[in-house]
Amino acid sequence: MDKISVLMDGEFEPADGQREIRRLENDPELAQSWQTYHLIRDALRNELDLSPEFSTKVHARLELEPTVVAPRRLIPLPIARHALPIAASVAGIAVVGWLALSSPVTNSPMTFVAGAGTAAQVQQGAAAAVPVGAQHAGIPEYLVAHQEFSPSTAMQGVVSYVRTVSNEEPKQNR
Amino acid sequence: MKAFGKTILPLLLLSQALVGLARADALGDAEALAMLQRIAQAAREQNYRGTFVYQHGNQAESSRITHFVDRTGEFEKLETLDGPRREIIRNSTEIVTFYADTGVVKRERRTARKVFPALLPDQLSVLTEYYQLRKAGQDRIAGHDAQALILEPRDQYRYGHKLWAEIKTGLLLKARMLNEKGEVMEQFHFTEVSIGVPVTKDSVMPGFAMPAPTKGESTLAPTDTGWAVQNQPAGFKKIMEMQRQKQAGGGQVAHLVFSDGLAAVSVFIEPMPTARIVPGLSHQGAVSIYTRPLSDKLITVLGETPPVTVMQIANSVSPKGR
Repeated sequence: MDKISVLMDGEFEPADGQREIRRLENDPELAQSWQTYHLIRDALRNELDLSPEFSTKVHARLELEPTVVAPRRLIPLPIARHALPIAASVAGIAVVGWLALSSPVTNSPMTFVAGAGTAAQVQQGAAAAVPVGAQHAGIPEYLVAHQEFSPSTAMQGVVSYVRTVSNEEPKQNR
Repeated sequence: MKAFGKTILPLLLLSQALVGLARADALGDAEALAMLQRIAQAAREQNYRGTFVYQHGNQAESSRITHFVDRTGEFEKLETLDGPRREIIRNSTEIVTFYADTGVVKRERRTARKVFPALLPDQLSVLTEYYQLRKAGQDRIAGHDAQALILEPRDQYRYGHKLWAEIKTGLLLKARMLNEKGEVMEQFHFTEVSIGVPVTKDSVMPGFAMPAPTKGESTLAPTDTGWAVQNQPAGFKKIMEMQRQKQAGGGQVAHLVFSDGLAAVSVFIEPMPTARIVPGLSHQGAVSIYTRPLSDKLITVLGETPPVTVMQIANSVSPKGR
């Protein structure tokens, strides 16, 4: 856990960092913590605009990239074997980091077009595809259905149903 | 990106530990839970009518509420006083909403299940694991003396709550939900209320023509939907699972509900509509709403929690056994 924090802050010596990244790759639980930490940080900074599966999708795209066939070195360098996967991981992280930095707390929601692919297609605002959250016609009905099970209803009775008739239309997030 | 893991996260953990140590007024579990039970009991058993203000974002709207109870059950009526006139009638079998501006009447059947107190006692012990409960000062709300209760979340998956309960009856007079920055996400607040007054049944009757219930309709029953959530935040237990019929001729929708005892999150799974869908996050008051496609299904998750909670739940929905 501590090591994940250090890794997040980029304060490992390169060799230690490599070892930690390998641990992340081999331990799904650790990888989950890594993702969760980023999610927490993003939530704290109000930057929860990317899908939590964003990095998974980037990696999935990387998998699909064509493999460049090149003649093998006669004496393989041990470092080179690790350099590529690490570079890929770091690139993935760098893309996420760059996106977070390049969108300083804007009010327009960021949309990741599922399955569309590369970072270039991560869009600011709703140019091509509209997030369904705000427009989804079933939501008012679902709000009413949900209300019955909310402990706030148990404590307040029908008072809490005012949410379902409030004049406010559901808003896209921040 | 830098310094988050090293500085902020330990600080968060440390501040929680300190808060735990410093709380001389931390409530014993039993006492805190008794307070919550009393609030729930008053909501069910008292006759009351009053006016309350609902605040969310920078909006405030007032509504009138009447609660009547007799041997045949509870009857409640809510009428909005600001903006378009809307009315909600709630009884033991259904919730009917009347939109006076459009003339539309919507009915929602209730579920064959007691939410309180059947749900609460076992959930309550879980509650103190995820919230720090403590008594705050007394205050005067809408002319009544009230005792304040604070429920502080122990992680980032839930909002904080502050509740003001009327001292004699336990009726909730004011309720506030706060995010991790201490900002008010939502607040309900009585401006005047009469408790224990004689209320006639007429005063909870609808002010509109109530359509006759469809024949053979009864309350909804729990069923296995074939869907599961694999990785919900700790403390959120499944409390309900059912199939519901979407209104206006829609298809079947699977509905799963998770709760930590104080907040609930609903998961709805329906066939994908024809329009192109991408993941989207929105909110209504303190309710976070997240929608995402999952192969040929549309997943909608909503609840009075921070966005991270509904997103994590939405991202771990899958068919059972996979």
